[in-house]
Amino acid sequence: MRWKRTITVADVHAEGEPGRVVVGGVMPPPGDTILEQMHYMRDHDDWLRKFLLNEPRGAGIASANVIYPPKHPDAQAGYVIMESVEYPPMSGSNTICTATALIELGILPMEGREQTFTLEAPAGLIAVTARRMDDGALEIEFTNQPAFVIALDHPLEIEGVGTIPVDVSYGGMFYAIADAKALGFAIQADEAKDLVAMGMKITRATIEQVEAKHPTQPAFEGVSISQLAMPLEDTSQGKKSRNVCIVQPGRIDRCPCGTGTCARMAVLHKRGQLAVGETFENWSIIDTRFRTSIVEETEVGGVPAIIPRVAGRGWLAGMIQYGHDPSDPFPEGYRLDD
Amino acid sequence: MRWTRTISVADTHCEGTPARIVVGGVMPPPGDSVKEQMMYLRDHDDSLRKFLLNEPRGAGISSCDLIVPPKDPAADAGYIIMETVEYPPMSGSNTISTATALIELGILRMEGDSGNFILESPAGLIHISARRDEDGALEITFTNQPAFVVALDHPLEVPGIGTIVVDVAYGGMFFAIADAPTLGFSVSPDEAKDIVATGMLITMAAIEQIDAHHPTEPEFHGVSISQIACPIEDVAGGKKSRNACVVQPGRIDRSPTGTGTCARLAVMRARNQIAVGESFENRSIIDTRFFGHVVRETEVGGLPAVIPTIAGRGWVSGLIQYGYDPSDPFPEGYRLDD
Repeated sequence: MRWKRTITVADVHAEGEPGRVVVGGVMPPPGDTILEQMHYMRDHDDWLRKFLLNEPRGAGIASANVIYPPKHPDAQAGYVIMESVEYPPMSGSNTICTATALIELGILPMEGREQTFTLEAPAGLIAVTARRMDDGALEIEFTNQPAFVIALDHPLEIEGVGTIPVDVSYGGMFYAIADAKALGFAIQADEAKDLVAMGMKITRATIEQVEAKHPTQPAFEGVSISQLAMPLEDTSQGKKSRNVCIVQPGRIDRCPCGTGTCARMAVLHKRGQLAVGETFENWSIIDTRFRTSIVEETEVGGVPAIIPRVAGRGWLAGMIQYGHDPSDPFPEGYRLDD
Repeated sequence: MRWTRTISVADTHCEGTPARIVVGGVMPPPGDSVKEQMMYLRDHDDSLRKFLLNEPRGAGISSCDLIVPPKDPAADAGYIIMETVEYPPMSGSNTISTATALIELGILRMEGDSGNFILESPAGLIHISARRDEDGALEITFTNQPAFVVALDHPLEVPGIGTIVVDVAYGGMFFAIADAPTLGFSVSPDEAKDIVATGMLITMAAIEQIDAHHPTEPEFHGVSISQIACPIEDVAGGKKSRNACVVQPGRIDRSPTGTGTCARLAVMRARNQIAVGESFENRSIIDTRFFGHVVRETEVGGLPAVIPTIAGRGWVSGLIQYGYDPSDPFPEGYRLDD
């Protein structure tokens, strides 16, 4: 055995959703911003993503992140998000995983039980607060980009189901949000396969029937994720709900979904169901939760929008050295879609 | 972060199939043999298997192995095989991965470029030869328990397909072996989803229609895996073929499948398609290979049988420390079958 490449990785999960965070073993790619560095990797040097997310190393894992020195003077660290099929500009659970690795490994210092810092994502600067909870868990809170509504109660014709109303909104990605209860679901683990089947039908119908465009970022368009959401409930602290987000080609996000929760908050605010500053607790199918609130109202290209804040816990589940032996026939892994 | 448990793991793959090998961090379970130790874990302490194979750590991974000091004085090391739903007594790719970790980490030492070892598996003693290739890869050859044929050309009624013929054979598990071209397959990666669908139909039909019993081990019974196999071809020095084994609940083995290749060798010998000592090269759907041959003929409870050997390469693809933080809500991970 000899390794001509050794990548040091923190194996992290954010409220149940695994994300691997590269903390050593690679040099930063060229570029004057993290966005440019992400573009360079995407267009010219995609090996790290394949190495980490293809089989055999990446079997069952949808997300990895690589930490780089920041380019922006206001940021303390930068990160590029890598997923099975793309390099997204922003992701909630990946931001929590990356911040968890930065804090738990001491790459960024934490003074006392609370620390604020700024991360440079491909989407821009992300303000983060890390908080040590009473039981020792680490909670990461981040402020997202603006989230906004495209349509409320849009009638969607779904083959075999009929016409149902969906809300279409943006929280970093475009979501089609349907009422889980009306479709006969309670968002329980034993419904997982049926939720995926229904979610994929909604996603396909939305792609065909709904035009969704970001008003200021023409590169972002089209619904790619469906969300089945339970009705909103009142709690002593605010509001709560439960949801699943179904990502293509048919997988449930294990955590409550950061960008999906932001998209839902935009809908709730537009309907007058969630006020600025009110707590919204969103639960996942495996009974983990994000605590969120709306920081303020804003607008994006003339469209009313909100600035959402999301908090979730991250845990270090393992430390990995990944290597590539030159006699191994899969330098970038392989994919088999069975 | 604090870890109340730290498990040291070699992340390996055998011809493309990943397996994680525990090399440190746990004390051996009670028992006077590795089989008894396996039964102790299975019946009284299943937490390590769940910790490693459930999500978030085990997403997409179906096999782990725990290395233990051997109990049999003839053995150099012992190992307990852990899979998603069971503790199998023997597995080809797990044996190759375990031997790879033992040698590549220097737990067992090769003299020069080769070595012979005896491993104690739950099924008994397994003889291993290890050899370093010219390109640095490690090839592991193991001698399996007897493999035998239950039925040749058994008619099987498969819903939606019609009546086909399958060979039923044992190579450590019971396999229903069907002809790939007859079913319209060439066993290429773009057929993966269709192979899984067809393979599962064959497995379900075989479970209902075929009575398969081990003549001396009454607890081993019933077909559990289907094998979609291409015809035998002549090559210089022997025979070759290509196959996909479909394991429940619907996944293709990435390697050529050790026990499946042994079952195929029993069928080939019964049909006089291969001689004792003649080489058989069996390819997987991702184009990796096992080399097998029949060492000698024998019998099991009065049934004609063969003693097969299988050779395949293993690589260490990573070194992992898995930890458990007591504030993490998933001490044994979680499962979500979507």
